[in-house]
Amino acid sequence: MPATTIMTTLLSIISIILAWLIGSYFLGADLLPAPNIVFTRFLHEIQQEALLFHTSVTLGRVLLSFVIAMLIGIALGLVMGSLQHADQFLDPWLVFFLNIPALVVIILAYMWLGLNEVAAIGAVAINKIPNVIVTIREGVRARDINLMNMAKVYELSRWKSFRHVLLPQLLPYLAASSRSGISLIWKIVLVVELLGRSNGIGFQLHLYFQLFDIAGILACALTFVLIMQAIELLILRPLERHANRWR
Amino acid sequence: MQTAGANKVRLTLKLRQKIFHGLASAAKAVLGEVDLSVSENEFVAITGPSGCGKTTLLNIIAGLDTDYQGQRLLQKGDTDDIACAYVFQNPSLLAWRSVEENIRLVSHRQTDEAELEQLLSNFGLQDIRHQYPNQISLGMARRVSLARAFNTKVPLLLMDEPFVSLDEHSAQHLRELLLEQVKQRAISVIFVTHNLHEAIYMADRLIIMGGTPATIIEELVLGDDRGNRQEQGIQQFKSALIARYPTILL
Repeated sequence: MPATTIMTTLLSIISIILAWLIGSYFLGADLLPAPNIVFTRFLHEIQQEALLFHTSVTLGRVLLSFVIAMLIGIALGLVMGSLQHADQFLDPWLVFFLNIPALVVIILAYMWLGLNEVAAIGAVAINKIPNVIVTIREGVRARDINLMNMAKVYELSRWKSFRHVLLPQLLPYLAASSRSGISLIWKIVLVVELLGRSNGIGFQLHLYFQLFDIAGILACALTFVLIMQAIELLILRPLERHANRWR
Repeated sequence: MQTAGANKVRLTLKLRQKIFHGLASAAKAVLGEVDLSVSENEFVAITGPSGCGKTTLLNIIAGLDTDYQGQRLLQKGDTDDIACAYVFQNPSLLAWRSVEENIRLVSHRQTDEAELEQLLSNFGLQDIRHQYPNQISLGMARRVSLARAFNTKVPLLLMDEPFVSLDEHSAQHLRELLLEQVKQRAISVIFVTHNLHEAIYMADRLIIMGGTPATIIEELVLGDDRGNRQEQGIQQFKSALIARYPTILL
């Protein structure tokens, strides 16, 4: 990374901390604790087993619902992108699920299935699946017809044609839906936990909310922002770079 | 000159009509009756005005376009992998696979490494085998696309203006390469081109298409000396043809 880029990023981070400090000064330390207080709290919390436990529980839910949503979304996206009749039939369903509020799905899932893990993870996945379908369908529709014709004439097997011809064309769409997916999913997971689970960061936030512990809430948020940033930098970016190496 | 009776027939096409259903426009017949049969080892060139449906005809023969009235029969031998190979106007290479991987991809059998080396060397691709398609020139990409077609055991090769927008020197080199490879492997070719000179130079039989909907308006047998015709003879033949069909060939 060139020095100017690093400088700009650094300046940006400093401006966030400054804005936070100023806000804290005007609102008072009760409503918006200063960065150093939150940071001390954060350091204190991560030494406790409780935060670690709740974070890992939440991450587990994020991961599981992400995998489920991606698998189902990709499969349906492929079908709807390549088969016109399936697309016509499923499109009203898609529109319905795209527009149903996340909260409604969560509440109904808890009411129908009870306050359990299946309902929680299922509700999160259902909220994400329609977005994955839309992105993947777009990718399949934008596929290069010349290359698909090539695969057909040379009678490539279904698997070969998918693996070497179609899938590489879908990678940018997969990357886009993974990235937007992971950030959407972890936000919904917190809501699900807040409403009906007795562990996880969402549950912890609910506790702090009842105690009016703003520093605790901010420390939790900071943990999650850092974890998501780490996932982005250590997993998503390198994967994307690997997929784009031929450019 | 090969006659249809003496050799095995590779393609029999009895096209009655091909209608193009545009999204906005009314249905339009692009191709009328086209009866075409191609024998083993035969090199057929098809020419005609642009937009007259030559590519559509190739797509029908290749089985890519199945929305037409008529019959098509491709004869595939027992040892052939696929019924026909197609060298598209656009090289249609996978940008995310190296030159060598692109060629390997279409193979239907265990790759014989020595054979692959021979193929790469025939087409002068050894030095760029590990490069990606967007790192090589259009001329090179066309070579890769040709080499790919020859990495299958195939009785019939379809080609859609494969040498267009190349400089004359590389185009001529590729023409010679093509004629040599086709002869070695006894492959039949259907070659669509706008370049009348090229067609007369390479083909055993020349088909001129035209009209709306397009049909075969003339079929000329050129003889069995493809690739060895004298420049002067080609020029004379070409001038005579243009004089006969000025609106179609100019």
